[in-house]
Amino acid sequence: MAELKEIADTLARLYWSRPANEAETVAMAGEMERDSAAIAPPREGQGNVFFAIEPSTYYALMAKEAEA
Amino acid sequence: MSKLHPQSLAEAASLIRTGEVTSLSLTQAAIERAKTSQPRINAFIAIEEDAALAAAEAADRWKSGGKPLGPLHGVPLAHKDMYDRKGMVTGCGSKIRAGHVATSTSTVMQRLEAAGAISIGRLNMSEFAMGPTGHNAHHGRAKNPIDPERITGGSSSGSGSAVGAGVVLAALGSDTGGSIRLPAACCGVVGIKPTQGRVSRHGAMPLSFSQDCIGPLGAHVDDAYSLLRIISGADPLDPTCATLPPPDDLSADVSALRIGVLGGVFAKDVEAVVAGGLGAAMMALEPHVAAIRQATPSDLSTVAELANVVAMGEAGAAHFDWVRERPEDYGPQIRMRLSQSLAMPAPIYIRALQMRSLLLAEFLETAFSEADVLIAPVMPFLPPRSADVDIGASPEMNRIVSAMTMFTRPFSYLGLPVVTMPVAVSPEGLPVAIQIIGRPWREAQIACLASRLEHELSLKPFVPQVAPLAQSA
Repeated sequence: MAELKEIADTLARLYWSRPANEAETVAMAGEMERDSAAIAPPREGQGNVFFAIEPSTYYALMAKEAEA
Repeated sequence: MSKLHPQSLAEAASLIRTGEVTSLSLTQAAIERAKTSQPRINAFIAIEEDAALAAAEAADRWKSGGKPLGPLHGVPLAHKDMYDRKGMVTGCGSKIRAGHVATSTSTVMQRLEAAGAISIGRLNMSEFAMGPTGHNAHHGRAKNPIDPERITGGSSSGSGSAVGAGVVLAALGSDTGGSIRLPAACCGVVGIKPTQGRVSRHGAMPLSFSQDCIGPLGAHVDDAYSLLRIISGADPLDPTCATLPPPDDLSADVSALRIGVLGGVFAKDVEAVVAGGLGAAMMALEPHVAAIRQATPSDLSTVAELANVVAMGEAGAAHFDWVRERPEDYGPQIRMRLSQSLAMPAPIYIRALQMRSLLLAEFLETAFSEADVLIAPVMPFLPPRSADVDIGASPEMNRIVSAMTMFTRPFSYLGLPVVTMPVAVSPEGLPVAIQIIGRPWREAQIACLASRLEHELSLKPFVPQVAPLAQSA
């Protein structure tokens, strides 16, 4: 956590040109912990299954539902 | 009930149309209710008395001239403090926008004005619509009219409170992770989160471009749905708005509908009173539909985090310069939540968007495989006490947000339409509410089912309505 808080403060100084307060560093560190566990790992054990999936695929699916 | 306190939008509009009441008298009565209730429930950020009375007088002159009347001609409403109206403040429940005067009118407000509705003021909300509890560091929290020690839910806190207290019959809110559904559930009223893209967001404050939905809260299904039909429809000013016509009316037959009660994560750790209320509602519904069975959702275990990445990533972008330059002007909790966006690498945010299409396809294939409509609780518990969830910028913030939005966020992320309605009363007199979830664009179907269920249950209003004025119209 200490390392992540340091990363958080560095990000703040770089992009916000100010230090992060304690609540912000805790929040950012927590975000990094959660996302690295929940989103970063490959889906269902398959490598790079998202290589050719565009986010706009979602809207195509919604448009198809409108036609149904 | 007094003619100055009609019990439905249809009744209010009819009373004005037939001349039994004037818009001025109805609007004066609504403003009086707003003022009387304000010390107790803090539903309003601003009661706009002069503007509302001027609009009501204009409405009465219009009618006297024999001109055509819109479906809500002269009816007083109020809306969440996030919709631009030309020349008026849109404060977004914030300090940063407290004095922001809009230079044009949002599409939804234009449509309500074209329908003849009057706005009596700006309703309280979580700052910048971020917060499922309804707390606001600048304006104080709106309070639950059923029990002021309980939360209203957020972020459309004032909308839930004002409609729940009978100050107005309906109000617009907005929903990105549960912000219409939670206040509706906590305050014992109906809320509708439409399909992603159903309603134009032109002129509305943004939170998450991919998940924001504008929708109504109302005392009854009819009232909420009437508002939805008025505000829906294509808008060339919002390229994300579907070019579909507004949804159909509530005349469809529900007897052929197959109902799926969601299990899995939606049945885990649900308090007995909530499960019992849902069960009783299904028993009431059963004679009127084709079938009610358990529905198994696809794996939604990562949806909470995916939805949060999308929401906070996009909110962080919208607020980037303010967070950098004037962070002290945010409430501590909002500042904390917005900071999360800086810790999201671009591939993580984009992956969260990529997964949306996969998870939507899976959900439609599994949960809707043998059901036309799905049912789930809104929350696994009753409306919490304010003191238990007023944690400011505590590290517990994420846990509280996750607990409150556990059952609502998945449908925001997937973009599905949801009607929320009360179905039971707990021993403490608190509402138990359910979500009625449809496939994309099926607002009419779920609203018809909700209307049927509302008729079968015939729940009494949760609070004694604010006392009406004397009988002069």
